[in-house]
Amino acid sequence: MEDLLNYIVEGLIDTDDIKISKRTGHHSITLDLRIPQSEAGKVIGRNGRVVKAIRDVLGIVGARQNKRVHLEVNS
Amino acid sequence: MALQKVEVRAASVAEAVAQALAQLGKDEDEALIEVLAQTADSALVRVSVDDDEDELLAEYGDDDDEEQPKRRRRRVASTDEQTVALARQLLEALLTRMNIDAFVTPVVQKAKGSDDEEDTLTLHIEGVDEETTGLMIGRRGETLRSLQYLLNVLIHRQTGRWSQVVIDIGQYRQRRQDSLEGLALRMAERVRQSGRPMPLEPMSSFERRIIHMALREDPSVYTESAGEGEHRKIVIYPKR
Repeated sequence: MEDLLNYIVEGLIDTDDIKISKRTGHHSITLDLRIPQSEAGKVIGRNGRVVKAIRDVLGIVGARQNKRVHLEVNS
Repeated sequence: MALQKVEVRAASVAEAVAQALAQLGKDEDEALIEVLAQTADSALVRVSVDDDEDELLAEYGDDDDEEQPKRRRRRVASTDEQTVALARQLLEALLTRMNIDAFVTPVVQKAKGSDDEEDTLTLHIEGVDEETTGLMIGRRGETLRSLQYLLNVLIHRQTGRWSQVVIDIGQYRQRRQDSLEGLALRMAERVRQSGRPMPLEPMSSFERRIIHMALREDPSVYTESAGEGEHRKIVIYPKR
């Protein structure tokens, strides 16, 4: 799942300074994405539309493992 | 050599396209592919190729662009081909990383008229099991819309141009269109009988358009959209 997130984010921002960590629980997976502050807007999008789309796509993968996915974007 | 067209019916779009291309002995990127009809278990496609490329392209371009035939050609043939290839490649890369085994078949649908900017590219995802298909579509198609939006953002980041690539899976778009058209006709009938306006559920612009189109020729009702953003919906009114 980190692979997928990394691939998406790479395609959205202008730097490869991307750090992803993952915590897996019984019912959920939490992905923590760290990117430079200047790039955050590109991943979030207007009204959070891009990050919502990313969450939905990650959610498909999570649902196949019966887990909810939480994505946090930090800088 | 003259234009060659083949129409093939098969169980899926991917299969029909593969058969048609095999008959013609051509590659996908040399051909124009159109989906003529599609149901849950069959698809009819038309594949056209021309060995004399200029002739095929002349069908698309309008002739008032003669001063820059080369440029016109590039825009119609190669830029579009590039976008198609890029879109497909990006979607396949996403699916691979989602651990979803699938076939992606790009289909360019010609808009009526000659303006190729109105053409739409649909990427058909096939070969995915039913449960995953349901997850990918999501409630009222919301997840599919997200995947599609993300793909278009990624294409925009690479090309600098906004595209309108549509993703379809398990013929969801066609089924949704059929059910929206059915809904439109049933609700129009109610409006006719009651003489009262009838609001429908909120829908995306794409879906509202299907309703508007379905009732456009109906002499007894007319449709309007009301509300903002997420809440925008169609109201069907009786005509008097």
